[in-house]
Amino acid sequence: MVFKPVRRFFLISLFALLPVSAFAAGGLSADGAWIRQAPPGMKMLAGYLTVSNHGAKPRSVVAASSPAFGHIELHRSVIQNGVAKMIPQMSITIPAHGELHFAPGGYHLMLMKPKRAFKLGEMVPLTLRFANGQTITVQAVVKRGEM
Amino acid sequence: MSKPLRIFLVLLGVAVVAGGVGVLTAYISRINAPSQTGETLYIDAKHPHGVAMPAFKLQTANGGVFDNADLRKRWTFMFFGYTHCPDVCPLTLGRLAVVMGDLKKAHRAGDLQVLFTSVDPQRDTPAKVAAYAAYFDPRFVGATASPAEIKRLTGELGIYFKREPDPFDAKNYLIQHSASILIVAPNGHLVARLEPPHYPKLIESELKEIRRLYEK
Repeated sequence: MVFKPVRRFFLISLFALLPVSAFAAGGLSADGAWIRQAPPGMKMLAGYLTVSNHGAKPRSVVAASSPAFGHIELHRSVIQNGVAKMIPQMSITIPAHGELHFAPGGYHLMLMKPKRAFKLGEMVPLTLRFANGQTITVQAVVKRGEM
Repeated sequence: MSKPLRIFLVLLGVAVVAGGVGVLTAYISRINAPSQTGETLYIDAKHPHGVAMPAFKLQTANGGVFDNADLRKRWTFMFFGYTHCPDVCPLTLGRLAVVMGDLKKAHRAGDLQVLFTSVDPQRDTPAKVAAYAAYFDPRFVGATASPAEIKRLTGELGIYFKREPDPFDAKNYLIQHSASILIVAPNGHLVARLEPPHYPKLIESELKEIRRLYEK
């Protein structure tokens, strides 16, 4: 009787953490996906998310797609001597038990040829494909952008 | 234990865990953030008023012009990029919008402007750049000029840019470009160059320091 509320505390706490992980399959999960809303008329957007590899082997993201975009590329922004470059990535490896952060100023999904305009708060599906053919799909929320 | 108390404890548990995750996330992002940025000051004993800006003339929306005269009587942040840039340009302009908002709250934004110049006039018309810049803050000015004028002006300012093919898409191209922010004082002279990464609080403290040097 004394332990019951305590046990429930942990149980509920665990549930509270669950929504953080939007999708988990094959030892991979993705969360926190969002798309920076593009200024009016712009055809190039960026998408961000965190991919976790829960497995004991490294995994590689090799492509991304979405029914809402004509074409998606994996890119990394780097700044060398004050010069910003976008370096297209053929593949990005996530170490065993590691995380890959797609975040502003670093790795990002370059979302090209949007098929329509997106409203703030709208959810847009993004699918990542891994080297072994596995895919995971997340819903990315359209935001004005982290500032 | 009474039912309301149990519910209260459960809710408290959820709040404590959520709070803990929040604090941890904030802590991790803080320790990962670089502590300082690079800057070059053009105000010194030899140049107490900064260095003269090269003469220039850019096109803005609706046939408007932005030239040296528009730099007078206010502080200007100049940033160069292109609208097909999905990551670094919106990130930088978004952060400059934060600076603008912060200074507005402190009643110090009245004499501040942001000029975003496209180094991609082949794809960016003046109207397009202007609409792009205004999205971040209605007071931001977006402009461009002929390829020759852009090349000359950026060359004189030490702003580098270079076109590169997009290996995935032959119809697209990428542009690598200096992500520096130039600061021009109300006398129309260049006074500082801030190197990325840019953080609003750092930009604000650098501007404060530069104002102090300039007004001395």
